[in-house]
Amino acid sequence: MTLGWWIEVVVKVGLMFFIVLTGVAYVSFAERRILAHMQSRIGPNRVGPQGLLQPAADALKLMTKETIIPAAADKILFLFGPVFALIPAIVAFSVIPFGESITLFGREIALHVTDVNIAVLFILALSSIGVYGIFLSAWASNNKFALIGGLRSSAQMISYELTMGLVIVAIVMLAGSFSLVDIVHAQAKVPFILYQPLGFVLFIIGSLAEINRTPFDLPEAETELVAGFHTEYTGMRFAIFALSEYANLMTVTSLATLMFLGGWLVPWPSPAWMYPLWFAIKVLILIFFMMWTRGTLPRFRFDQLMLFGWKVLLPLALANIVITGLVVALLERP
Amino acid sequence: MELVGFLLLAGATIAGAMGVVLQRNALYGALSLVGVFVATAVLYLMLSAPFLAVLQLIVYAGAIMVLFIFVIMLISVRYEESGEAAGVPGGAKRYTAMGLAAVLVILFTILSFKMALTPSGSEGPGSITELGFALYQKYMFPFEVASILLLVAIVGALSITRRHGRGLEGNVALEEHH
Amino acid sequence: MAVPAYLYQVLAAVLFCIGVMGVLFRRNILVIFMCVELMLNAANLSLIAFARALGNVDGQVVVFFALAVAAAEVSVGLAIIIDLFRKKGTVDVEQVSLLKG
Repeated sequence: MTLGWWIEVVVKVGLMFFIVLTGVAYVSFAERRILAHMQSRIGPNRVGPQGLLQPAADALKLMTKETIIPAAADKILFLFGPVFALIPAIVAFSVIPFGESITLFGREIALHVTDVNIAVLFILALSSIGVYGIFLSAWASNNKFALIGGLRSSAQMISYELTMGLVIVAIVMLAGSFSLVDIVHAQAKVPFILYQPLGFVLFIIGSLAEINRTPFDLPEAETELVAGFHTEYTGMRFAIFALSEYANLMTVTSLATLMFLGGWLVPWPSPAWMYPLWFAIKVLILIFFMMWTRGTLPRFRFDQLMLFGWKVLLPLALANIVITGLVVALLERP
Repeated sequence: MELVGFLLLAGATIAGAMGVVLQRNALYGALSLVGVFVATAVLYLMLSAPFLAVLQLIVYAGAIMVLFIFVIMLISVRYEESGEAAGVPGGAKRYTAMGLAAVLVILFTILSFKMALTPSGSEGPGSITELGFALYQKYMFPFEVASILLLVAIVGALSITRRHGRGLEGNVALEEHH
Repeated sequence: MAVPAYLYQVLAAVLFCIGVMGVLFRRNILVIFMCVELMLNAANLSLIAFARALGNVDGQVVVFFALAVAAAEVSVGLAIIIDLFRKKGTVDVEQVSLLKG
């Protein structure tokens, strides 16, 4: 609780906010450009050099739009719904480590905001709470499309959380700890993707469904339910939902990198300060992959989606745990 | 410092609990209960039970209350809460109940004070390894029974809410897609 | 300064009593059910506080099982409430008192 501790915490939290918010802005911009190129068009390139100031222009536009609240809407929930969606998305970043501890000004500073030895479970808990933002906003809108979209979206998120949780169990069995830093260190020789190929596939599919992205974006697809749970939201509130979606994207890709791709470790010798760079590169590769699937795959129908989650992915995740457990138990015997 | 944190959290839990009991709108009551659970999870963290704190968030705040709120929404769509007396009725009932509650609390305080439990100065037992060992060695049988209990609950919940017919057609959730 | 152990018990007792009053005085069955969950939560808090004070992990194991049981109980209970609502059209306990008198 010393002054040094306080300064460290404040700086880290400020840095985390900065990274998340600029990251989100530029990931959304990158998505528009990449999707555009996949669809044989160009995407925004007029605002600033190569369109790089587009997120700023978007932010300005959304902030100046009128806030419309439906007359029969539940005002308190309507105004707080987006907040419930955004907070877990950003808080998840507080346990994601970007690299090894560095020594600065005589203190050893770990590159994550808090040092929780149940980091993985904490992120899972936050995604459970993120469901609230969606269906509370849907309910508060007093709009049938929004309600159906919100309920579908939350049912989908809850179902695929199970698969993700079970895959995490298998990873924890391999690493022997719930702490993300320990999980990365356990991959010093071999990244877990080689030990858990099925787990990796399951986790990527589960996380695509968890963050409501194509091919699982039925609840908010424009051609389906107007705009799903955020139909009635305008201006800055809508921007908050978009922010939370991209922040969730960054969170799950960071988690996948840490758990499967070895986090910041690389097979060649590297100075410690470059670790965040390798981490960022891996995360960006995964983000590109997710944008690629968005541009390529058609979306699931809702009953197909639920069937897939419960009848295909869940048994596969369970089988993954059984196999992993057997192998770990057999190999660990002295 | 820890005391300040505890008092804040205790205030939050009690405020949330009063919200659950006194709110006229069941949905707002459910949200207050979520607040209580989150505050309790932080209290568990303070009591060196990090695993249980996160489990509380995942299970209670993230699953049970979501289910509650879904049901409240489903029921509210067709049923307006008609003139229920918000909160506590007056008269003798109220005072006896509050008196009983006060007596319980005082009794409990005296008893626990007399037991003179000091908070253990060290970390406390909550490491996951220890919990895991206890669960899988000493409490193995209840662990297996709990899994059967959950299975029974799933089957029970599905069979109670089934409307008619057999198979998948009887279930509300899938009705709209056929 | 560290928090004296009995304060946690007092908090648990207060929460429990608030839950009891909720169960006794509310007429909406969903709110009654939520107050029951509140009481369960208070008991869990007390158990964990004791586990910490006695340095014993058994309290936490019991809470673990209590969490599982609460989840099972809530799902079945809500299923019953939904069924009740479908048959009676109300969730007011004063109006479903067939066994009275």
